[in-house]
Amino acid sequence: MGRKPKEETPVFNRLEEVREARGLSRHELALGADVHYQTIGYIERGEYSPSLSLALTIAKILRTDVTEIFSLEPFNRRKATVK
Amino acid sequence: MNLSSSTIAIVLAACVIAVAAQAVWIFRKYDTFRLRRLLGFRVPGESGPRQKLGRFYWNEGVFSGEITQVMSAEYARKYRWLLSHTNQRRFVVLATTSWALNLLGAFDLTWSLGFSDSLFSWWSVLTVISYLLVRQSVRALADAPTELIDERLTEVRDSAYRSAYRLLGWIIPILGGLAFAAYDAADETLTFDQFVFGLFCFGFIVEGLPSMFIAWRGKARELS
Repeated sequence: MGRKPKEETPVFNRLEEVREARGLSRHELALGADVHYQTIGYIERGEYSPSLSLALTIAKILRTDVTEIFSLEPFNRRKATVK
Repeated sequence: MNLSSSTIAIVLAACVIAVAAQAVWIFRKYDTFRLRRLLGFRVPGESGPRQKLGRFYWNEGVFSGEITQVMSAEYARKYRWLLSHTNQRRFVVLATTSWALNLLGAFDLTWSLGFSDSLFSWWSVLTVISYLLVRQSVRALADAPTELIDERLTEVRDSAYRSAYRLLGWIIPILGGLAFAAYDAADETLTFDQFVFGLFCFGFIVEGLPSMFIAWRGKARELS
């Protein structure tokens, strides 16, 4: 029962890499972004695409550009560079 | 259907006890002295940190402290059995099955399955218990005010409510139509007992279905 969910454009991310490069835990990042700690896990696993405001907030906390974390194209498997 | 007054009393008592137990649980867990403060009495020397109930949300019927507590990682660790997705699905299956049998009772069909009055009363108690298990396992989300949860959880909650009430849009007219047809064909009128059980089942499904959706989908409280 119910409607089939609409196909969404996939959003790729390398949040886990960037977060670890910054030395932050999921809980710490969640606390800064004012979201539930599991939400960070969902974003990292690609199971949830954050809103623009949340993506920008996360980028701000990690002191990087939002395009360094989120992209419509798959990222190369290079390590995240922390500026 | 000839439900004895003791049968109805057992069902009603189970509902009252369940509500009272939940109220006691909230007050004991979150603030032992809240009632005392509300009544203006002084609180004796308190030891250790005390959890605050915080603001009460009337629409949702929850305290902010309650939601914050049940959303925490500590709570998830402590009540792993309640929050595991497998158990949440078991609660949903149990609640749905017991609800369906209660609904059949409202149409006098349960007795043809071999249920006695006494067994049916206990089955009704099981319905209340399974309903409470479902509700408690997803309460943090199902009853959470939007300002206390993030955007993903808001979407999980709202989509569950949307799906549930869309489904109810089908269930209620179909069951109502069947009931009307059945009573019309049998040339019977609705007895008070049948009405009470029908009302019980209606309230249960309207109140519980969104929580069942959240529990079944399991996107709310997986342990990670």
